[in-house]
Amino acid sequence: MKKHVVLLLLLLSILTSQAQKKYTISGYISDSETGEKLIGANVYDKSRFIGTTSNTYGFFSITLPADTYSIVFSYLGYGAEIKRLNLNKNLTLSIKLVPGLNLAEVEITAEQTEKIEEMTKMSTIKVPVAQIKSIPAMFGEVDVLKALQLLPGVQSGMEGASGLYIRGGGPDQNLILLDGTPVYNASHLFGFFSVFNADAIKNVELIKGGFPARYGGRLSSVIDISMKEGNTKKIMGEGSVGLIAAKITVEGPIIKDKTSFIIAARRTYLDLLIQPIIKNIVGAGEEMNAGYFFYDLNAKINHKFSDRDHLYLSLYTGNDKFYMKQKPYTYLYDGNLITEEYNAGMGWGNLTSALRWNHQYGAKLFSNLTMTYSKYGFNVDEEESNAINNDIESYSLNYFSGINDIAGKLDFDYLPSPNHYIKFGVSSIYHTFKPGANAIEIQSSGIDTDVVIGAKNVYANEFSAYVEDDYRLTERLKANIGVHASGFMVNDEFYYKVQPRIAARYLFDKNWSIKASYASMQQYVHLLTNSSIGLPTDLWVPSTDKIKPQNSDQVAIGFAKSIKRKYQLSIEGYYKTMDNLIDYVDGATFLNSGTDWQDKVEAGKGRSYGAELFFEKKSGKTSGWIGYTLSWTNRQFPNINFGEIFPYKYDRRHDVSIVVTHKLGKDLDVSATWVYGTGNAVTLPVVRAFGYGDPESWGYFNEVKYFDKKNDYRIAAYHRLDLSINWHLPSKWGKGTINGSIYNFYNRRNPFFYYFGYDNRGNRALKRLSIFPMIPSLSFNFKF
Amino acid sequence: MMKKYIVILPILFSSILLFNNCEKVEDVVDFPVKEPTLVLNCFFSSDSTDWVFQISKSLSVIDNAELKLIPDAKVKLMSNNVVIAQNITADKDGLYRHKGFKASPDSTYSVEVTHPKLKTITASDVAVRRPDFEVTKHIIVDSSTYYYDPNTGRNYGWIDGSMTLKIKDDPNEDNYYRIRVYFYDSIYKSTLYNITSDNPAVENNYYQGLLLSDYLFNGQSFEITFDFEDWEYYINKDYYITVEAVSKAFFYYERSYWLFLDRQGDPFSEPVQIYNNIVNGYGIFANMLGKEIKYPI
Repeated sequence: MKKHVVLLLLLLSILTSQAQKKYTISGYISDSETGEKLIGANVYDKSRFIGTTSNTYGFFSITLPADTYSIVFSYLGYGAEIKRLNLNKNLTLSIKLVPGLNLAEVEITAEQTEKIEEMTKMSTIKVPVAQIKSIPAMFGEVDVLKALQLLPGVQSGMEGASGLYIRGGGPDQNLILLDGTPVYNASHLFGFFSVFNADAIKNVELIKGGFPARYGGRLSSVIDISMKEGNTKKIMGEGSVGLIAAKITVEGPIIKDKTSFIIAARRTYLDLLIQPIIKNIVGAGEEMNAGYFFYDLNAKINHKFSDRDHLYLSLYTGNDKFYMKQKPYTYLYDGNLITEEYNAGMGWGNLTSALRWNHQYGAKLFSNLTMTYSKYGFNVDEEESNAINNDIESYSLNYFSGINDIAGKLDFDYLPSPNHYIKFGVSSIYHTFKPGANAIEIQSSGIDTDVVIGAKNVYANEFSAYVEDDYRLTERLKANIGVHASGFMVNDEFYYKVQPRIAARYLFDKNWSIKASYASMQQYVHLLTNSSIGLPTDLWVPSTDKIKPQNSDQVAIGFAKSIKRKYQLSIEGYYKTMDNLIDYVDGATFLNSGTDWQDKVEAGKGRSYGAELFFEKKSGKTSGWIGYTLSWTNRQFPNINFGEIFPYKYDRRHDVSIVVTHKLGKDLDVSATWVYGTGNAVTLPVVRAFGYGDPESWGYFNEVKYFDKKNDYRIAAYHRLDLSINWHLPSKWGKGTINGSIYNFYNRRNPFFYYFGYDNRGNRALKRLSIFPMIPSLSFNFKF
Repeated sequence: MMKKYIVILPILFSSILLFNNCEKVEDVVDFPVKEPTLVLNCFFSSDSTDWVFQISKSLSVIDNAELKLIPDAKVKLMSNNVVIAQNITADKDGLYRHKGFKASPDSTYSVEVTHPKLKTITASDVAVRRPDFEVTKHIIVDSSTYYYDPNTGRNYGWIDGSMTLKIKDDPNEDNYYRIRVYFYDSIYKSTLYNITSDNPAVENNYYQGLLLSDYLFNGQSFEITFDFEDWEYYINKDYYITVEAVSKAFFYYERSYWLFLDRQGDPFSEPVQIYNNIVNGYGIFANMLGKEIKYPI
């Protein structure tokens, strides 16, 4: 026994002596001017070719044997900092990188960012917010989601809309996170604008496949958006006045270097501008007030308790509102005084809030506790009242639907050595689904009737746990291996799935690698979306005993290469299968609200495959990218298209995007985007014929319209060129920028909607409606 | 400096005028025009010796012409590939008829329609077996007469009732059923439109009856309760319940056809694909066989 104890002690002493020779450098990397933490900054030992990156909160940790090192800290758009360190103890550093005035002025080194071929993750693209702001935008309104539409594998929906269809998936299959909180409806004005105010955003990352295990709950993508934290050094502001909206952002310290805030607001003013037009339409006599507006408000406050503890509280709220108000109209009829009044409106909006606490346990373990509350709601209201003398009869209808989430999440980052980056955590979400109900109130002859008709709220618990390791097996081979397990409990039903994830890269030489990934995903919420008209009536519903959770399996393979340090090329092929997708059955309609939603849909499967090319120039006077996607996407449901496979509405064979930004001088830059996409697949009847009802009843000679297959008609291809110019005007108070842009420069009449009507000669014809011709716009942006 | 920029604002606001003329409608000139094909519609009952074929020509959805029956086609009817009748021609009313032959359950019936200018079409369907059912409960809640018409000698009034049936389903095949309630005398037949059931096996409540498949009760004795009510002019007469076994083609066609009619003009509706079992053309050729039970009020 004594021999064993001696051996054990000897072994422990050897291990301890080994451990004593290694030390950890940890800390945070931030912007020297604003104090903003830098996400994904590179920490790199030049001599040993090993390194790490900072996490979402700017934290990094690297454990190395005792020695002398030249550690490079770098981030795209910032001057690199090299620290010579004699590592004989654990070190805590606070690295402050100096931002370049613009991307072109910063010298690019090979280590500036983690090179594409070295990353294990694939199908992932980060788009700098500065670049998003430089891309031409419709009506001059910078739009984060529309910028993502320009990436390969990402397709837009209808003309002008900000919906994302990623690798054959629907818009409900995108996990859009704002500071870690899911945003259920990310669009304003039927999708023409997204809810994200670019001035309040720090980082945007899109993941299309090879999902790390920490993400779950959606099949097709993760769009991880981080809000700025607010300047910790000084009060700053920026804003813009554009064609349809104005916005302002103010940020600054409450306690210098400890507590900071940011608040950003945006509102459209179309409703104010079109009042004269409405009055002209309504005419004299009646007084009506009608319009539409949306607004956003982003706010965040963060506090640094110590080097080890940070607290963040972030909030987003945004609403769209259509309104029509008829002022009381009084007249005399048959000796009676009659007063009529009518009000109607439609609104929808999100609220997301997150409280996050970062804590650092020693130098290698970092944790983040997140508590979130979010809600999305849609409502339509109508009120009508008629008064004859003092006898009032009134009627009001309020339709409402939505989803509320309360969630908690605990995540850990553990970095035991440069060869391992381990992440693990747990989360739980309590969902409240409100799948559509009508509240009706009638007052007549002094009797009040108040009823609610529709589906009852559904409550569900979703929870998950994950672990992943970004494991450097050899100098050439690195893999991110993980597993995500999730469960969902609703109405005595319990669903769960263990979802393995793996992504690996093999470096062939210094500049190129081959990558492969597999991801199994499970999604417990569904979006009922109407295929005829895109409306915010789209309804989030849970998996039930009838409607099972959606799941997918995706494999991808590709290669990545850096060329002359300035260019990056990636080519990927993917194959994705999806099960338990839901779609409306034939004839399902929003107007038939008496039918349970589960009876309007059925479950089926989908398949998507294709190849994507992404060639990017990230730096220099000219930057931008070329993206190309070749893809196929189809669906199959037992009772839709009589069980036959049919193309998905957004099955686009070819999708091309070219984005170029060029700096003409110190104060002038221009940019252009060109997009091309194969026309969407739609269902249109092809023939008219007699139908056949009951010979003993009506319907015997009714005319009907047949179509041979669902989504069998291809609408015209979509293409468009947008241009913009930015003229920067520095001044004593800050900087002004005049932005001029032209959307759809060559005035392409892109299809928005098709319908059957009559031509000028009275002949039946298929009509194509296009909504956005060439649209020039101007906006003025300022920073102080 | 700020003041200088503020003068730009009026220019921004003037751009709002662009909104007035943004949308534009154009004719799609390259929309493919589908050539006309023969359209055949025929329901044949195994209880009847009468076969009625409605034959017309399809038109492109953008063709201006009116739909019409075709008088110059020829119809050939076959049973298990044996010709029953051929060169059936149109009657004066434009319909094609054949009398004297009754379909037998489990036999396959085929039809071929030829035309001098249009492509030949064919279709076939297997005749169904008579359904096995019994009425286990029937209640008439109201059968009040509100009006007597001396000219017709009929009573007009309201009928309101419910009924429970037990259907014995054949486990060896997929079966489809139609349930209807109606009144008739020697001249007129009146089907009740308001017949409803919340039974999950019922797949269509838009139709003037109930359509159901045995998907949920295959091979079992299946009980279904339904309510019916309507304003009728045969009140105080007998009423009838029919349960028909219908072929799969009949079921799919009826379900889609009535749904199509119901959803016409609804901009929010998903498109309705009408079932078609005619090769090289459009329409329906389908069988049914019912059993009728009379109930006095």
